[in-house]
Amino acid sequence: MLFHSSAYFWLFAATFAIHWGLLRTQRQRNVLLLLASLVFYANWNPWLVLLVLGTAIYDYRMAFWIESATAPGRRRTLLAAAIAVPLGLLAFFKYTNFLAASAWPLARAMGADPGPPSFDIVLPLGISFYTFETIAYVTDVYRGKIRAERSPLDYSLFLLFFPHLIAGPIIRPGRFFPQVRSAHRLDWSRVEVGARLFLLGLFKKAVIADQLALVVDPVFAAPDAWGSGAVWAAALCYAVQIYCDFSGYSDMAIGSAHALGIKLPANFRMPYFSANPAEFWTRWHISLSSWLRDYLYIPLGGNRRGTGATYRNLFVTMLLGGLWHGAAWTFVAWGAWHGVLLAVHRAIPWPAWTGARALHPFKVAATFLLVCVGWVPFRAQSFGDAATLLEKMFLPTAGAVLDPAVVALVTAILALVLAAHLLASFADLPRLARRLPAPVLGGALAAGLLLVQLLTPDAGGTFIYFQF
Amino acid sequence: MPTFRPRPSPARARRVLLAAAAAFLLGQLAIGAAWDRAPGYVRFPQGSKVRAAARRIGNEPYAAIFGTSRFRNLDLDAVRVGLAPALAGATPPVLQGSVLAGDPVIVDSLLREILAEGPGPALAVIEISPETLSYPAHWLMDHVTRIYTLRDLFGNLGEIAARGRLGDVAERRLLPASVYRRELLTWLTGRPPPYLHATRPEPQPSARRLPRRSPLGVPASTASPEPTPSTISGLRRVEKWLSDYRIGGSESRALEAILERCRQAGIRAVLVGAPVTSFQRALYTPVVEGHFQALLLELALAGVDVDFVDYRSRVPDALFEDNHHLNDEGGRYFGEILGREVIAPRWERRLAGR
Repeated sequence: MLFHSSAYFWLFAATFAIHWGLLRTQRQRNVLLLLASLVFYANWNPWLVLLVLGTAIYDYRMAFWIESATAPGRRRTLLAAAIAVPLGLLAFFKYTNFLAASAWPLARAMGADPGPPSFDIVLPLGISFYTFETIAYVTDVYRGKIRAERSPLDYSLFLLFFPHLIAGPIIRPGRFFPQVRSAHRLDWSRVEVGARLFLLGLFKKAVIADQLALVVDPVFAAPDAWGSGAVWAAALCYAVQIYCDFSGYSDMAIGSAHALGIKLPANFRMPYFSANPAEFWTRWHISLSSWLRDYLYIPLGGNRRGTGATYRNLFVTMLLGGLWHGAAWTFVAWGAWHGVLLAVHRAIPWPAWTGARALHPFKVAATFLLVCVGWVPFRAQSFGDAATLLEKMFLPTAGAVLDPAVVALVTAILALVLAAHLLASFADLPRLARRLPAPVLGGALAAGLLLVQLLTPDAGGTFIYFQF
Repeated sequence: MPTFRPRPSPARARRVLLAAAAAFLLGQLAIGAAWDRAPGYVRFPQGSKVRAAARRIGNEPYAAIFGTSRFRNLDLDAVRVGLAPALAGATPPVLQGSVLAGDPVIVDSLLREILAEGPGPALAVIEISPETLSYPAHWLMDHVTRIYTLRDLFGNLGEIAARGRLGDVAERRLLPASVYRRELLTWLTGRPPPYLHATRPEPQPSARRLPRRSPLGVPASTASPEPTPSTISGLRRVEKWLSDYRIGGSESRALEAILERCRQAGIRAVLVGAPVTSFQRALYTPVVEGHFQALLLELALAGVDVDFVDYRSRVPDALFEDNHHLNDEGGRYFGEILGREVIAPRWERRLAGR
């Protein structure tokens, strides 16, 4: 069920009306939210609801045992078991074919005859996200940061809460549980903020990301045919497309949750305005990068075990972060690229003058360029395609060009995104919004929604991050 | 110095949301109401083009071909070739009035508008088939988009319900900005979306090899090919259309209206059974065929001048691109037949005053 479908509108409207209109206790509301979440997930595949519920029940029990165990060895064993099962399920559903294909050259060298096996495995939506959430939960219980959740209802809701179920933001148990334990009152200010966020996300997704996909997809599908100009345009468009697609999804998720009285963490803070790769990762997919920091990079040793180990940990973290995105070597390459960028940025003793304010725009542009280069293997179908595209980007090559009218429209869309970023950077938009008379602001929201309806392309639909 | 930040006010937030909801609904209702009065080029651009073509012909008597996508691929040059032997030097202009989903409801509407703008054709060739005369109509939603006003919707509510599309119709009226975005954007910008695309230039096609023709104009190779995937999927769709087949809704009423309109305007009307593949003809069960023939008989018994020529089995399967759409060669082949066997003799009779 997509956020910008009428099915979601009706599910959300019904949930909102019952949640605030009929139910009085938070427990009743949590039951409702869980039921709505089950309907939301079952709408895609009713059977795989059982998998999410099974994961929830398993780690719900494991957390109790971890909490009650006193011997460090037993606690560690229980933690390993609590992590191994959801991670094993993730590995099975997401990486079986990838592992089989990757191991195939070795098997062939050892004399195996038939081609690499291919298994018909359905990837459960959201498995990468809820697996990380359940790992965060049992780890936090192990570390003593939180107590094991007593209510199976609240724990199931933590994993299944529909606005964040499919593609995050990845929520932390310590921030979620307090919000569903005490009853809230309907706060129209939060509903208004939620509606504005939802509309913003809808605009990013339907009007910008889905439109740019019409230029990106054909170029990435046949890289050989296109000239350097078209390839550069497609790479830039993809950078903006994936940002608008994913941050649009996050905005809609956060907006929906806000209206239901639950605050989800921010996932993006204008990442393309970062002045270096390290800053980029504090602004891009924040809930994932902070998860990787807290549950992978720091447990690996972080920067506490010397320079060499720090670089290794950075690299391994980004490599696994890349693999998390998809079961293909192109994603691993993307992760490695960012690992290298972070390591190089850390290794260079930047002289003081590089911090000059006048250089900031150039640093932002350079970082954006490096990130765009990384998106090429991320989006390409294969290493061969990625190599062709990168070669065309850096060695001027003749080939098919984009229609001038298309170039003009693409430029206008990219300029609009840039202008919106600049406006959000230099103006206090929430304050401006509060100063507008209510009918004017309401009219602007309605006009925005009508514009979204008008400009949503026939093609498009599912979110890029749904495949992860 | 701390900046002043007004505190969020729930009452104001409620006013904002109410204003947004009211403005959104008003906007939608306004677009929905304006839709009934929208010019033809917004609601039905294809029909608008047909009308413009009719206007360009002016007052000269002409023959018009009306129908669905099945007649859209007719080659007008081939029609003229078919006309030439009988009408050498006096071949009339031929208007291609076929549009996508151009069933009798659409044809009736087109004809009405053409007649309102000029003398109209002297001869109207109208495609019919069991699929375009069924109840409930298959292209109801196209009619809702292109021609139906709110009043028409109420008039056809039973048929819309029988088709199970009440919800869709409500959506089209209550959320027109979303449903009619394509038409609205075409109107606003002058061309249909999408506006962003990256179309790779195709290599220049080599000269297409057309089937060799026999001296009589019939392609040499007319053996039935194996049905292609598009033929199979098309057949599945038509099979669904023809299951529980009935006649008697908006389409058969529209056919009567067309014939009556033609009679009043002095237009000679000829109904042509559209050629389809043998695979599709196999779906015309005796029940379907019985209903179809009964309608024509009823019209004749009611005193309507019914001139029906059945060409459903006239074109070999090899000349179709799927279950019922002619390919280029089929368009030439059947165009010539239509000119020679349907239009020419009737035009001759017209010239002779019979």
